[in-house]
Formats: sequence, structure tokens, C-alpha cells
Amino acid sequence: MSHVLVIGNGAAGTFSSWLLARKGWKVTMVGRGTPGAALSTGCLRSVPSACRGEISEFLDNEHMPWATGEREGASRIGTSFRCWMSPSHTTWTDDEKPKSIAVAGLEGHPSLQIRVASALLNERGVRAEPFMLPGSVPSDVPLTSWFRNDEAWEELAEDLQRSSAEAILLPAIVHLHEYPRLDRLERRCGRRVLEAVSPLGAPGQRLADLMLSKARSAGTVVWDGRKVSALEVQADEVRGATIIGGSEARHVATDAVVIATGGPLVDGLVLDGRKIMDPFGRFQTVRRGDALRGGYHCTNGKLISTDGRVMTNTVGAGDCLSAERREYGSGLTEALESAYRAVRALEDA
Amino acid sequence: MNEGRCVKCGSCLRACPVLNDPSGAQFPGPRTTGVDAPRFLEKGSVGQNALRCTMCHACEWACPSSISITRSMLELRSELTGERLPGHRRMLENIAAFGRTVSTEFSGWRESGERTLYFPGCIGLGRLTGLTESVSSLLTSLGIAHDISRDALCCGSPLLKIGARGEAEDLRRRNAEVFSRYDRVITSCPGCTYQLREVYGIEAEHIIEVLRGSDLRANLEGRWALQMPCHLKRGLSPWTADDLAAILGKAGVDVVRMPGEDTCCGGGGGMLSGFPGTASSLARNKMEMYRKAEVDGVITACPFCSLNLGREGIRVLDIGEAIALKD
Repeated sequence: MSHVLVIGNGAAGTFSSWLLARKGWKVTMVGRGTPGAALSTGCLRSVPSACRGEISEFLDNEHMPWATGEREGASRIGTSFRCWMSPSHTTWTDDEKPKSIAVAGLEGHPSLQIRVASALLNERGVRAEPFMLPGSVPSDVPLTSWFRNDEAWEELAEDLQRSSAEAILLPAIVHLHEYPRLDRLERRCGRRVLEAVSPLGAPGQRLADLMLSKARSAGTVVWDGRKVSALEVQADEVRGATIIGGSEARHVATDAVVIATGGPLVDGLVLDGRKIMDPFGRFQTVRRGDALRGGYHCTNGKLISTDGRVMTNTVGAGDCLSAERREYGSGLTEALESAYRAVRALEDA
Repeated sequence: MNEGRCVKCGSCLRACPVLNDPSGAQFPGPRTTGVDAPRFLEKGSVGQNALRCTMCHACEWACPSSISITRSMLELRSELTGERLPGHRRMLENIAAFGRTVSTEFSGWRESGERTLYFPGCIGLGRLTGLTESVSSLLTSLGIAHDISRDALCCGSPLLKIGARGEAEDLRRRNAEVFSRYDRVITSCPGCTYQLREVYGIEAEHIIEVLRGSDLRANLEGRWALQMPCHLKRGLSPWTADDLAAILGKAGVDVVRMPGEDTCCGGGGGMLSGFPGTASSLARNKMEMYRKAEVDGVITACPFCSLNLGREGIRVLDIGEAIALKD
């Protein structure tokens, strides 16, 4: 059985690992730090073209059902968010659009800005009213700490009885394994429960947790909290890698490599001749309307080293590729499709 | 340092076990103490609240930009002025009186001039002497003749955590002579191991590293969860943390893995002595998780974890107590 080293634990890394493990590869996935997917809205903006079935199967989860189609939701400041795939409580279709919404949140907490969001929803033709929940949480403290146990959710259900609105918009706070709480809350207070779309919070983390658990259950060995500091290149193949974790460094041999290190965030990897330079502290500067650009070049899926050699056993996936250009704020679908293409290129090699 | 790379994503805040605890709202959080404090003076004036953190490295390990958050936190702690917390004052009084953070209860010293030193650390010598005896017998059964020296004092790690750099440096000087008598140093505390490696430059081995490859058995009934020590997984080496599970599995323990096993128990970073209420609250969160998973007990590899979780009414064993050499 061939061994493949997948570098990166985000959308492209986990999806590549999942696909490869199911095809019989022995997969080790190395990644450190919160991936971009965990900072995202946790929704897929654009419709995948090549591998819709695989993506649906990859993201399928017993706790959190997905909804697909032309869907719309409200951001944490009340603006419109359109997407193709989201958790079922996050968006609605045109037919299901609620007529009135109580925007529930804690005063001053950035997870859902209840006054601004209500005002903007009203402008969008949805009757909305701010609904202040009792309590106060400092802005740097995650709201999940406030709703951590059954009692807190019971109190929330009781508070929400006071509202007469058709639907309740809540800050997005539930973790993956707690997603059924939203259904229970819906039954308990007898009206629709929706969550605000927000990046940098629970929805992205939920997606990242889901993808990681899928990669793991397909048989991927996950080396979390570790980073690749160098790749060993022999002729036109990468044959090994040096990996650092804590105060230890290890060398591993490998038959193939998927580089899925991301691009928009700092601390991505850059291939330089025989080795990876890391860390680089390289910022992508994005002007309004600019596309995000990654670092590596590839040809037919194969990675090209900076001196022009085509690495026959190494492919790039996701935002690390300079070929992958996308609008700011999109990207999950593109990262997954890119991983699918990378795995096919590796299989063809 | 590299605080300028912060992209304000909040991953550190989400990862922080203290901020995620109801008792933790007074902690200004890792972004204030570890990222902003070095850059903006006014953010650094948070006083003793900077100490409401277990130094578990979860923030640093979550940071997408690899910012050295914990190093900045230690720096901030060393610059704190004003009166120390009562628990931290007691630690320093103990250090001044007898060189360890807690009073020494252990009496099974072994000082016969062996080439290997077993260094149990302050908690192993003062609070969990049974653990120290178990590890010592295990080493003997593995054929590792060793000393346990009364001359070896606190490694200094807990002192760095409460900002007492001068005292930590003083201990390092006093310990250096003791360590120079030995070829090999074995510990059962990840905090000590990390300190000996990073500050003393001694390639100390944690007991897990010693046990790798040995033929071991465990006579433990039931299902056991892990408490993955922070300074083992995120400090020393995540591979060594993987080995904790692998060694127990191979020895016949029914190990139940779960996502929150590596969340801090609340026992580190001077929290246990400085803010015992928060330390307990964090331990109760973990106990709640273990109870839900219906395990019979928890196995760890850190005296601070054993001590802090052990007070919450569930069976907690150190790996040194959980296994023995196969007959």
C-alpha cells in the first residue's frame, strides 16, 4: 500500500485525505493551527460541478443536516447571505422566507448585533425586532460559554416565549455534536429557529470538526499540531519530509505528497529548490475586488518547484495554488473541487 | 516577536479553556495577554488577572499565524508588579525555606550513586508520593537502577509561570551541580521535562519515552479515558502524547478516545495555587465529559492533572500506576 503525506488540515487537506484513504492509500495528514475553513461561514457559496456526490457524502453528518439549493440567510449584522449549501437552520428558500423575526442576542456581544441586524432586516422587508437576552458576556468571551448546559438552553427557551415573531434569529453558537439543540429549541418554543451567518465563529469550526472527523474515520492518521519544515526532493520526486511537533522533529519517507497548506493566511509554505521555506510571514494583500492568489504553480495538477522541475508525485490542492483564483469570501467549494482534481492527478501518476 | 501577524480571527479565544468556563470571564483572554500586551502598553496593564490562565498552549496551537502567544504571556507575567496572589506567595515562601513549591512528604530517597536520576518533581515528592513509588518500582523492574536525590530541588517551571524569573534562575544554578552527577534523567512530569530540556539543556526523558517498546501489561477492568497533559502534547511532543494511548492499548487497557481529552484540566500555570476556584471549575467540566462517556476512570501522565482531577470524585491514575512489566 502506498503512503501519501497530506500537508494541511483544512478543507482541501481533509477532503484529499478522505478521498485517498477510501481509495486504499495509507494517509498521514499533518497540519497545525486553525485552518481557513474554520474561519469561514461554514456554508458553500457556489455549486460544485465535478464532484457534487463526493462532496455531499463527505459533508454528510448525523447531527447536522444540510440544505441545498438557492438559499438565503442573514449575517450577524443582518445583511443578506446567499449560498448553495448550508446547515438546515442557517438559510431559507424564497418560499420559506420568514415574515417576522425576533433577533435574539446579548447586548454588546459581537456574535449577533441585534439592533443593527434588526434595522437591516427591516430594510430587506422582513419585520424584525431586537430581542435582548438577559445577561452580559465580554466581547472576547465566546458566547458558547454562556449556553454550555441544558439549564441555559431551557432558560433561553423560556425567554423566547415572550416573543410573538414567527422565527427567532440566534447567534451561531452550537458546536457540531450539539446541533440537535436547535431542533429541540424549535419544538420547545413552537417557532422557527434560525442562526445568523457568521465567519470566525462556531459555523466554520463545526465544518472543520466535521471534515476532520470524516478524514479520520476513513482511516487517515492525523498528526495534529505538527508542521512540515522541509521536503526532501530527489530528482523530480518528493521522497520524504521533516516534521516538527512540540520540541521534537521527525523524518518520514513518503511515496506521494499533497500540498494543501492554504494561501490567504500567513504561515503557508513555499517550495524553494530542494526545501520548503517556513515560516514566511508572507501576507496576501487583497484590495477591494481583488482575487486571492496562492503561492505554488502547477501543471496538470503536478506541482512545479521554483527551479522549474515538475514534481511527478506531488500535487497541490486548494488555496496554495497560484492557479486557483477566486473572489474574496467564496472558496470552500473551490478548495474541495481542487482537492478532487489533485487526487485524480495523483492517481493518474 | 511575531504578534504583528495577528489576523484577529479569534481562534485563540475559541480555544481558551478559561474563557470557555463560566468562572473565567475575568481573564482578559489570550489575545490581550499574549498578542496585544507586547504591542500596546495599556493592554498590558491587566494586573493579576493576567495570571488567570493555565498556560495550556491551546491558544498558540490554534493560532493560524503561529504567534508565540505563551512566550509573550510569560514575559507579561515576569513584568507584573503589585502584591502576589496568596497561593503564589506561599509557593515562593516554600521555595525560600526548602527549595520546593510544596512541603516534601516523600521519604524513599535512593542515593547510591547510580548513573540515572529519577526526578519526580515537587508534586511527586510532596503530594503524590504513591505515584513516585510506582514509577520508581517500574524503573527497577525495567532494569533501570536509579537515584532519587534529595538534593534535586524544584526545576523552576512553576516559578516561571508565576513570573518569578530570578528565583527560577537561582534554582537552575543550584540544580545544575546535582544533574551533572548523572548521565540520564527520567521524569514523570511533563512540566519538569520541558523545563529541563528547554532551560537546562538536559535531554530529560518523560516516563512515556522510557516505556516505548517495553512489553507491558495492565490489570485494569472497565473502560478508561485519557487526560492528555497540555505540556506533554503541546509542549514536549504530540508523538509522545500519541504514545500514551498506544502504550496503554498495547498493555491491554480498553482506552476510550474522545475529542476533548486534550483540553486542559485546569491544574497548570499556577492556576491551582493562584485561583483554586477556576482550577476546580475546569476540572469539573472535564469530569462532566468523562461521566457522559461513562468511563470507569481516567489515565494521565502528569502529576498536576492527577492532583487537580483527582479531587473531583473520579478514579485518576498516572501511566506509572496503571501498568507494570509483563511477567
